[in-house]
Amino acid sequence: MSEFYADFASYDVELTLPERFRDHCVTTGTLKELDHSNGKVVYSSIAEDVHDFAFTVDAEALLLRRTFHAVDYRNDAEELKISNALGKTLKEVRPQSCEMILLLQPEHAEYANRYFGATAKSLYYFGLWYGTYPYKTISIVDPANNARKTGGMEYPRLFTGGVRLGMAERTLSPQGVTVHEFGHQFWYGLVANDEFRHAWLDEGFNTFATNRILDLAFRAPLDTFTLLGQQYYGRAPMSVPSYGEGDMRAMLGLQRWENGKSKFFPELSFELRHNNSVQKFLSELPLTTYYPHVERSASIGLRSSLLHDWGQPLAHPTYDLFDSGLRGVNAYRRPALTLETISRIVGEDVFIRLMHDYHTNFRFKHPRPQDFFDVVAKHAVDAGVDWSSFWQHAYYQNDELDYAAHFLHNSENADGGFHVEVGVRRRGAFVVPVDIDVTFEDGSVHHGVWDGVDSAKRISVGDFAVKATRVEVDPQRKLMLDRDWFNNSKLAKDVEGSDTAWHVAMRTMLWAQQVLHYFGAAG
Amino acid sequence: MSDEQPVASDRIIVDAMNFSDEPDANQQPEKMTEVVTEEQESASSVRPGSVRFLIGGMLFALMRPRVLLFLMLWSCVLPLIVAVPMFNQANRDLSMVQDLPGQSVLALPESAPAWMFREWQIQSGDSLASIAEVMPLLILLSSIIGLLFSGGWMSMATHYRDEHSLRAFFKGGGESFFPFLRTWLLALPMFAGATYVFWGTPAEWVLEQLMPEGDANLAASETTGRAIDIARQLLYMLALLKIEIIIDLARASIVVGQRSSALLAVLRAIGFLFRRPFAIFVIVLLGFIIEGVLIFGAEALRSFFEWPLLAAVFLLPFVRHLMRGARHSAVATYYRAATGE
Repeated sequence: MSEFYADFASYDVELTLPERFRDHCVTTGTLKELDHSNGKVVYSSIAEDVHDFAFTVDAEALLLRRTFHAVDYRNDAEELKISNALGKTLKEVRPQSCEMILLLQPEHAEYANRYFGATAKSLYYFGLWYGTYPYKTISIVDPANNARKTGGMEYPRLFTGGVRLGMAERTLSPQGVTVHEFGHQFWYGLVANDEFRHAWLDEGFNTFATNRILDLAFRAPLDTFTLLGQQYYGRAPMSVPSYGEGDMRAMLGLQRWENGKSKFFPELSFELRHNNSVQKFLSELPLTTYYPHVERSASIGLRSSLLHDWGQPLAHPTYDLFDSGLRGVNAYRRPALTLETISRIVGEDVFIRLMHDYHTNFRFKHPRPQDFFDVVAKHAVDAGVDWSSFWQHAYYQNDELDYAAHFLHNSENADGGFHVEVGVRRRGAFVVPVDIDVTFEDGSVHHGVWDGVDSAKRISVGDFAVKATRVEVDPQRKLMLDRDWFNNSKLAKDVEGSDTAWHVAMRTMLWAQQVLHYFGAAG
Repeated sequence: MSDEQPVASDRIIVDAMNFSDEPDANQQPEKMTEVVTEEQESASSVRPGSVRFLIGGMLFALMRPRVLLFLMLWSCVLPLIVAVPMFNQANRDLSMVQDLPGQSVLALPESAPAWMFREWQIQSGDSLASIAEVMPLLILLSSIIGLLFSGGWMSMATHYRDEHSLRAFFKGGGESFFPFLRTWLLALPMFAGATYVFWGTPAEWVLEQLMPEGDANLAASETTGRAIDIARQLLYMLALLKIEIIIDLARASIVVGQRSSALLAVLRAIGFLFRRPFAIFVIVLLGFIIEGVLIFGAEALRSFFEWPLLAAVFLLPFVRHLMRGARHSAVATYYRAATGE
C-alpha cells in the first residue's frame, strides 16, 4: 500500500484470519469479531470518511489499549491561547477522547509508555490546534525487526512507528516518529492533498506541527553517542574524516591499507580497523572529551535543510525533483521552515487562526497550494508583508534570504555623546521587512524595522549619551529562512566578543590529544 | 610453586623498582651486562607476578619527571595543529553569537545548544572539514613518533635505568626505532587480517549461519541480532588487543635481546604468548583499567575544584603518558625476567 490521492469513502471490510492472529490485528476501521471457529477468526472492520484502508497482523506482537482523555495532558496556557485566538470556549477547543491501540513487539515492551505518551500528546495538540481528531480509534504498529522498512508510514487511522533497543530517553525515539506519523492523520488523512505533486502540503505542514509538539510537550533531546548498542549523552567537538576504498588518505589515518594497480601484484585493499562503537569510544573517551550536554530544538533543527543545496523551488512537482535528497528538503524541512517563518512574522494569534481556518475548511477535501496562499493573505493582511511577493520568493523561485549587519559606528559629538550609525545588507534576492536592534553600553535597546528593499543601507540611528555596543538584524530570529545567522550581528570595534572560541578550541584540543594518543599508540 | 618464589620474586621487584633517583647528567651508565646478570639469576625457573611489574612500571615512570614533562609537551604541541585553526575559525564565526530567544543557554564548555554547531556547519562546513583533514596525517605522525617513545621507555627500563632519563629515553628510542618501525609495518597486515576475519568474508559466513542473509535487520529477534553484533565488536577488540600485545612483546624482545629482526621478534613473541598467555594480557588490560580510573579521577578532581578545561589539557596527557610508560617498561622488564635474557 502507498499514499493514495483518493476520494473519501466508507469501507466495510470482512477479514478471515488464521486463529493465531486473533487479538493480534489492527485495521483502519473499528474492529468487531464476528466469528471464531474451525481454527479461524472472522472480523468486520468499518471505517467512515477515510480515503484508504489498511490492516496488519502479527501473531507475536502484544496488543495494548489505552484511552486518551484530554484532561490528562492539559496545557492550560496553550488551551487559553487557542481559545482566545479562535474566540471559542475552553471546552470547545479541548479535543475529545479516543482509544489508542498499540501492536507492540514483545522485546520493545519498555517503549509502550513512550508510544502511548507521544500518541496522546499528539491527539491533544493536533486536536487543540486544528480541531479534534474525528475517529474513535487510532492504531499504532511497532514493526517487527525483520519488517523494519515498513516503519514510519501513515495510513488512515493507523500508522507504523519504529524503534531500536538501547535508545536513551532524551533522544525522543520512538516519540519523534510517533508524533510525525500520527500528524499525518491531520495532514494527509483529513486534509488530503495531492502527495505526488505537492508533497509539501502534508509532509511540510506535518513536519512543522511535529517539531512544534516536540518542543512544547517533551524535554529537549540531547546529542548522543553509541557504545555497544546503547546510547549515551555527549557530542564530539569534531570527528576524524573517514575514507572509503580507493582513497589513499585512509592510509594516513591507519584506516585502510591499499596498494596501487601494479603489473605484478594484485590490487589489495584491507581495512586496518573497523570503526565500531567500542573502538570509537576507546579512542575518544567521550566522557572527558565530548560536550556532555548538547541540547537540540526541533524547530530550529529544521535549519539543517540549509546544509543542502536548494536546487529547485518548492513549486516544482515532488515526483519530478531531480535529486532524491531534495525531496527531504523540499517536501519536509524547507516548507516547515517557511511556515515557521510565517508564524513568527504574523504572530501566534494570527497564525493559529489561519491554520485552523485552513484545516477546517479543507477537512475531507483536496486542497492545492493556492488555497493555502489565499488563507494566509486573508488572515495576515496586517502583517506588513506583500504576500504575493513573499510566495514568489519562497515558493515559485529559489531565492535566498540573508540579511546581515555590516557595521556599527559610534562618532563622538561635541557634547560628549555619540552619534550612532549602522550598516545593514540584504545578501539574497528574498525581500521581506526585518527588525533591527541596537544595544547600548547601559543595556538599553533601540528597536527599528527596515523594509529590506535596498541591497545595502546606511541607517542613522541617532544621538545617544552612551556608546552602542552591538547591532543585530532579526534579533528574535523570526526569519527562519535566513541562510546565515552568524552574520546577523556586529559588535562595535572596541567591544570584546564572547569566549566561545576559546572553549571550542579547548574541547578540540582535548579531543585531538586523545585521538592522537590512542590511535597513535597502536601499530 | 617452590618455596623460593617469594625470594626470587622480591629480587625482581627490587630490581624493577630500583629508583635510586636519577643520576647526575654526566654520570656514566652501568654496564648492561651487570643488570642482566642479576635478573638472569632470578628468572630462570619461576613465573614473576605481572601485576607487580605494572606497579613497578608506574613507579619507574613517575620517577622520570623529565621524560613525562617532555611527553606532555609533545601531547600539547601536536594537537595545536588542529586546535589553533579551530580557535581561529571559532573566533571568526562564534565570538558574536549570543543565546537565541527561548533556547537553551549558550554555556560552553559544559553544555551547548545544538543549533550553534549546526549553524557553524552551515556557514563554515568546508573550513571545518579541511581542518579535520589534517587529523589522518597527524595520526600517522603520532603513530611513528610513538615508536620512538615506546623504544625509549623499554630501553630505559632494561638497559639505561641509571642514566640521565631524557638522554636515555632518546638514546634507547633511537637505537630501536628502525626495528620498531619494521614491527609497525608487520602490525598493519596483522590488523588488516583481524579486520578481515571479523568484518570480511569469514564473519559474513558465520553471520549467515546465525541470521537470514547474515543481516541483523532480517533476524526475527532484534535482541539476537544485537547480541551477535555486540559479541562481534568485543571479540574484534580483543583480537586487536592481542595483536597489540604481540607487537609490544616483539619490541620487548628486540630491546632486551638487542636484536634487529622484526619478523623473528614477532614469532618469538607469539611463542612467548603461548607459554604465558595471561601475564602480558594482565599488564596491558590492567594498565588500561588503571588509566581509565585515573583519567576519570582527574576529571572528577578538575570538576570538584572547578578548574578550567586548560587544566585537563595538561592533567590528562600526564596520566596517559604515565600509564603508557608503565605498560612499556613493565612489558619489557617482565619479558626479560621471564626469559632470563
